[in-house]
Amino acid sequence: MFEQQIINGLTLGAVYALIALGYTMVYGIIQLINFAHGEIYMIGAFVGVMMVTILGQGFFVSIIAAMMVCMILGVLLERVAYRPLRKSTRLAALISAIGASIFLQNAMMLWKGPQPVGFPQVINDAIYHIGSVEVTKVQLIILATSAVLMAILNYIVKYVKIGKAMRAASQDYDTASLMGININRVISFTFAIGSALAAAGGVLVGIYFNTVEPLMGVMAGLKAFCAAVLGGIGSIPGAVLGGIFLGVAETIGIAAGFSTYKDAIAFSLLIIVLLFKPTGLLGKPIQRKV
Amino acid sequence: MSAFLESILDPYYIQVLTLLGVYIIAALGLNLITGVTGMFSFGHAAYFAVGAYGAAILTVKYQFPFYGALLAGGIMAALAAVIIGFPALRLTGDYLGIVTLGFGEIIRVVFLNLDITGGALGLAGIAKESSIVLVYTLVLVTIYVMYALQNSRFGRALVAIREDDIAAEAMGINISAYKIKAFAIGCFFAGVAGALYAHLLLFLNPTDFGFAKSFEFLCFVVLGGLGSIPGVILGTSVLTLAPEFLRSLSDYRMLIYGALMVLMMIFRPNGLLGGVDLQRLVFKNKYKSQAGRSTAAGG
Amino acid sequence: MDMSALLELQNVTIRFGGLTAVDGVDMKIDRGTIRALIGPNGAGKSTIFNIVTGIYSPTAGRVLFNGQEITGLPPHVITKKGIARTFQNIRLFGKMTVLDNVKIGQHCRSSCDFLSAVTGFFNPKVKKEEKEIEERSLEALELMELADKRYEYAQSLSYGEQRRLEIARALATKPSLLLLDEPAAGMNPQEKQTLMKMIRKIQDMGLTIFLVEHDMKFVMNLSDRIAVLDYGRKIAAGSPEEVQKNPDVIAAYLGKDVD
Repeated sequence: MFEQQIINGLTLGAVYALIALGYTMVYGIIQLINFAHGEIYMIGAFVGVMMVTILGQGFFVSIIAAMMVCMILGVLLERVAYRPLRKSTRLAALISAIGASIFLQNAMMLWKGPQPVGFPQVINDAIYHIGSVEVTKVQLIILATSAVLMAILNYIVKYVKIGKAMRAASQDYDTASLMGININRVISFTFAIGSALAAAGGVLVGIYFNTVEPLMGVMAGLKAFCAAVLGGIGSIPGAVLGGIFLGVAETIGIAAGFSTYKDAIAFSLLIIVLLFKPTGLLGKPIQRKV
Repeated sequence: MSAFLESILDPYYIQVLTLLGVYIIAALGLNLITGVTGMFSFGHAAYFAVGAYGAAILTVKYQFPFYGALLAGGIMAALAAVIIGFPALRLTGDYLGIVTLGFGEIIRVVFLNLDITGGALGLAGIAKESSIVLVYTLVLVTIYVMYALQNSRFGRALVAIREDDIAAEAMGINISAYKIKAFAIGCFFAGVAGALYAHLLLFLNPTDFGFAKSFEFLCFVVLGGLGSIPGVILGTSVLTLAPEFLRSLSDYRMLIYGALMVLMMIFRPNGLLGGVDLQRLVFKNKYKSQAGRSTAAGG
Repeated sequence: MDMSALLELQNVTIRFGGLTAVDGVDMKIDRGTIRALIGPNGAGKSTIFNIVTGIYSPTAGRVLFNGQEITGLPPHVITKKGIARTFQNIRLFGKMTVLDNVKIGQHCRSSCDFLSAVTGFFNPKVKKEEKEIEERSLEALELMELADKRYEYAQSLSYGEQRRLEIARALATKPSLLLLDEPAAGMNPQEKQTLMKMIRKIQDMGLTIFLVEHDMKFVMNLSDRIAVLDYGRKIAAGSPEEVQKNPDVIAAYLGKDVD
């Protein structure tokens, strides 16, 4: 049964990783915990639902549409709520992020009501047997989609000009701007990519659990943030590792009978890791500068 | 006094105002931690919950006298802060914030699973003890304590740690000891406020003490002005009463509340009263006028 | 044991990863003298200060103060024993007033804790201590000619004033050894002259001074003895005249000829 839990955990972990990537990229450049990121994920899931129910589209079109909408939303969010506060204290930006998060949750509740909305079946699910392990078609699609998106992200960050600029800005913000990198463009781009990945995560979760709701982003966002910190915030491989680690640990924890403590598993892991490795699994150690 | 207020005010408003007093006490505690000492704490609601559950269990299940339970609630929260602070306070900045958030969520989940707290069903049957007069008396006591602390050797050391921990240590301040003390004192007030909350609302449920509540406390402090006692009182009042004033907007209430938070931060990034130190201005003017007089006399 | 030395470094070494920042340095500083530590950038001067004040623990070697070992003690304990310092890149408490900055220096020479703070308005002992803290802080400010700025925020002072405030704050800890890390950096010639007089005055009060400084005129005029550091090693030591003539020192500053 252990192998089965690994498969289930990987599926959940892939989604955590997709959300965690947005947190980690934004934090890497502007040291902001974008608390409204969970709401972007939620809105992505809702866009997916609407694409299927209202426009009758399939999985592929729906997920692309959700990613596009959330890209625009993420860029707007940064423009309105964070850019004016870039020179202010971290807490001021954080409160603005919390305000934006409350706003987006309530906007969605006003529009769709607070009740969960069913995600219509877009994929004819099937079960495959590999040895003793059962894998559903939906799980395979989640894993494959996540892997493709992460590969694309990796390509952008390593080989495309704007991606290289992102890495430069996260290494040294000031020097990057002195080298002629348009920091505002880089930040907008980072929000766009991060939001698109979160939206994809939202649609995938909708398909997996067959339901979406306006408050779904709160806990998922928080846990994905834990995953990002766990892996080493600012590190892209760290976010993937943290997300998968968290997803697997949570699934195994539930299977082991700790389901009522489910929400505490992520935080306990986070605390244990940080106490031994204060900057996360793949984070660079902080030098105390005098 | 309470009876008099109840005769002229609508009971609903008395309840809201009393709750405001409870929140002011908790927010002033957080202000000592985050505003004065500069330690991010994203889990303040957990210490509030420890005080609330601790005191309520004592009065409901062990027939403790209320005032004893009130003090015990504060002490339990301070103890929890010391236990959590020892490992956590080695971290700083956002990492400390996220770890305090994590501990806060763990405490909530534990309360959800214990028998003595009533678990998900909640804890009921708490007697009404927190009158508006008692709460505001304790608000005054808290203000006095915070004011006295900030103007003492102890409080100066905390501000120094916030401004530059390495220099503070080089000036002879044992920063780990001071951080733990500040954290415990701040959480003591959260615990007392929690005990008052329990005996005001008469029913406790773990879902009331999640990170949303912690962030609410943080918003009170940051919006009012970190480190400023009048600022924190103003911030708490605005954010606690705003939903009441926005009640006429019914469904749009929380939407506007969120938008207001963003706007207030954009237009007052240091908080409503942040960066205003009236005491310093008074001293400075007094000194200037004295110095002016002595040169005038000399010339 | 040689009790005339106030501070003694024995074979002090520190490595960061593969880099040996300070390599087997020995040094003795006599009571009441002014000792300068010079050397090119990155020679390990500030690192030695950080070892003496307990911010770093040395990989090897010992630090003795008043004949007593202080190696690896935490900074606040070392300050209480009587070593105070300033920082190369000014580290004041920016949003505190000038007076409060200096009061922080008095922290380790006073004792009122939070319970006494709460009773402060009614407690004569607390009031007396606060008054003493204020008086002693003002003395330090007068010495550094900053008393009229007492209610300004530290961050609003000019650069030279901030450097002087750091010294005032260090003096308020009542040290017997004062470490000054580039005290004259960024000052104009007049300010440097004033600073030199102030440092002499501090020496006359019975303090021992250990300073790092790049301005050679300043160092040569002020110091009794000078030690020279290059790549973490002590390459020379002696009176200002001796050091100026030392060929190794000239080579370290001007670069060695390749033959």
